[in-house]
Amino acid sequence: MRGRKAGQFPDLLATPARRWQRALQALLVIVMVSATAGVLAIVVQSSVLLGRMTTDVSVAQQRTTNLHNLQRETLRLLQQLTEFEQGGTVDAVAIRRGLVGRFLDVVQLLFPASSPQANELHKIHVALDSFDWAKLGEPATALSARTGAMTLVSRIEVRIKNLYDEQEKFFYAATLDSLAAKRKSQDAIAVLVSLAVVMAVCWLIVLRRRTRSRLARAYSALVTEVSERRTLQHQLTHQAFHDALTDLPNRALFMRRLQDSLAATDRATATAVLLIDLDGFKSVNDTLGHGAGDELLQRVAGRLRDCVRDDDTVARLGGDEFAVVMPAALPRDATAVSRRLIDALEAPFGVAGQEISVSASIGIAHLDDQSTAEELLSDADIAMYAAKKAGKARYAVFERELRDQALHRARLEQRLARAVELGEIEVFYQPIVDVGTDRILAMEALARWHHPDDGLISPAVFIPIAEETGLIGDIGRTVLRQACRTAQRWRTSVPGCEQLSVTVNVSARQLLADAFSQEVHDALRDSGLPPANLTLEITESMLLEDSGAVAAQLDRIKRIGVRLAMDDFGAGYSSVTSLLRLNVDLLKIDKTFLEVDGRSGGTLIRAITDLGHTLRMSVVAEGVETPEQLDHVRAAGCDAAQGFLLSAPMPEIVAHRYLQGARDASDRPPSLDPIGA
Amino acid sequence: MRPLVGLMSRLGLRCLTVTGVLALAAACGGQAATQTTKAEPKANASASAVSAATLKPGQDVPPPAGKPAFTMTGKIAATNQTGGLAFDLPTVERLAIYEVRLYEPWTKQNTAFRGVWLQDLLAVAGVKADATKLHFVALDDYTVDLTMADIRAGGILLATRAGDGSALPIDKGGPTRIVFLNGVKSGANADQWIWSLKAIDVQ
Repeated sequence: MRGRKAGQFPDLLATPARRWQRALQALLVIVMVSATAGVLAIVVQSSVLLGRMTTDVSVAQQRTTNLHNLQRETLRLLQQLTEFEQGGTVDAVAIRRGLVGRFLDVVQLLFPASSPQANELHKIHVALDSFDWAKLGEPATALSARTGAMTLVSRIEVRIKNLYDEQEKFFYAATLDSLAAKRKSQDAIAVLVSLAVVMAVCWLIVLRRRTRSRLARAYSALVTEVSERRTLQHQLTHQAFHDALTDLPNRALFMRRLQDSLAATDRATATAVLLIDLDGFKSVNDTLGHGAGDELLQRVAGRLRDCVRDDDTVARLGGDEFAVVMPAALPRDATAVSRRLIDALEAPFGVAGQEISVSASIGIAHLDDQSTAEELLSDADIAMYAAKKAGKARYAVFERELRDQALHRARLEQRLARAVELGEIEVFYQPIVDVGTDRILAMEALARWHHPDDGLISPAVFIPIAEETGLIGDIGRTVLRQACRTAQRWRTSVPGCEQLSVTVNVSARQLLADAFSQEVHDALRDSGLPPANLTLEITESMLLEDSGAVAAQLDRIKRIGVRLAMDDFGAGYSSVTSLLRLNVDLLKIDKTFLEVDGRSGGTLIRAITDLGHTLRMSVVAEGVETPEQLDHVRAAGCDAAQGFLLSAPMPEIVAHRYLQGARDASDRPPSLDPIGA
Repeated sequence: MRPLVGLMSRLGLRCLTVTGVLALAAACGGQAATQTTKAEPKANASASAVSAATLKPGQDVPPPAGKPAFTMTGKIAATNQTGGLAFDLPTVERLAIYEVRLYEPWTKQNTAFRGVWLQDLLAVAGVKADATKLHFVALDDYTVDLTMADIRAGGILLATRAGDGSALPIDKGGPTRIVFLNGVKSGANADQWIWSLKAIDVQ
């Protein structure tokens, strides 16, 4: 901006060319001023000259006129003398003579004193006066006097005429000179006026140019300001509607585009919304730091942008959540783009010197007749959730049922939260029975939701919800504390139950919370239950989350003295390594094996039981529902069994009574000690 | 044009103003010069009464005893000869005589004269109401016209003698001549100073 300004309004001193121009300007100033001064001098000079000449002319005119009068009177005197004979009088001659004398005086005074003309006139006057005019009146001398007078006067007349001629010549010359001087003066004035006009015009031009350049400067400043303001506004607008990290449109712009698209869509080609959530982004952030996370997001944003059609808008809604609005999209377009997006993210990203793989779960929502932008987005969210649930790196298309499910879920979430507050979560107990002696070795504590209106709600329904919402922490703690308290009470109040253990299920989320081992410790201390009488049940899937952290946590728990059970063994990876590594005390065989073994004759259960025993674990068969199954279990060498055949989970009071009744059935104290331990 | 523009921007208004003022001064200078050369020294004009009038308006003017000094003709009531009035010097000098001292433009000297106010003369001659001007004729036939308004404004003297009381010879402009007190408008032009009066015609 500054540069352009300098170009428009150059500094006069900046370049040699300007300097040359300045020199020329100075020269012109000098020429102009000297011309003006010269002409001015001429004007003044000729004005003075003209003044003097005018005076000369007027004096010459005066002299000429009066010389003329003098000459005329002299001639009249001569005439009077001529006429003297025919009855002229001396008086008449005297009058004429007097008049001649008068004019002689007057004319003489018109010349400077002692000038030749003045002297001449004086001499003439003396000559006139020195003549004896009295003789003219005397008859005796009249004739000769007249002749003498005439001679004198005619001589005088000649002398006066000479003076007159001379003066007339001077008058004409002076007049001509005066006229010439006047013309010269007028010419000079004309030149001067022309110069003044030229200067005035130049000055006006300068004024105009100055005004114009001032205007131009003001205008350019205005333009600059306006454009800067516009740029700033543009930036602000851009910032307001774009994500700072990826420069993708943000949620606000996304919603606007979506609304625009909805407003413009004819129903044949509907709008589709893709909601993209990165799988496993959080771990990247946690392990590699936010810098790497941000870089990854930028790279992901770039790939996403390359995958969509020109009309589509990719936006970052926040965190690792992206969205695409596709105007005029057929269902197959949306799925095609989704597939492309998933494929595009398949190749690992080189971020922070490491190769990182992320995948995306995509939810697709199509325009419905009544959809608003918000509904469409929440539909996509539901579909994305479904995709995530179905396994990662895939897409799901929204269907109405999904929404119903989601609504149901949302309602359940709310209810569950309230249920935890109101204490609607009860703890049920299911016995684990020694298959050899039928003694009750332990009671498994199970959370049950007793809803005042809907009755009992299955753990299969509410436990996943609790895990997702984080309520599992509260529920787990409640169950743990209550189970410990109850078990201790039974141990002390029910005869024959002194060695009774209690097993409590632990979720991955609980296990990952740092405070969990402290919670276990507190529950034991508060209830007074010996650590060895508490068994925590974990599942194999937990070990996948963060094996290091889980192992550390389990190690702390083991050091308290609490025992561990591997729940649902066989439903997951059935990893022997993890069994070994975690130092599990109790192996619970998943009930699916019982079902399978119904056909295979219990060989699988036997194999697993042998494995457990080999690893010095007690083995419990779960889900025993029929006497045949119990036989299988017993035949396979399992230590204990659990299932509806033996007892369904019971409320505390019922369990209490069950324990009292069971005491009568067996005299041996229940024991879950590993074989040989 | 650009350098010229630059020039003007440097000197600009100042240059123009100076030039303009000088040009104006120069243009006026010539005129001023021609006028100032005509400036004349002004004497303190004074007039004082020498003798009172014995010939008053309404009285008959006696015919001239000797040679008449000048005649008056035209729109006058009083007559003493056919067609008008003839004055000899003694008759004229019966009017109130004043002595004046003034600057005489022809001799360029302060000079004293004695004479009668032209208004007084006209009153004696009984100039009619519809008269507008006086037509003066000199012995050399030179003529001058003065309006009645000029004369009523005063300050115009018909001089009959020099300041010392001596008669005016013809070669001093006598026997009678018209002089103007300094500052009288009609006497500003020296040509109006007619001398050696012969006749006055009232028109």
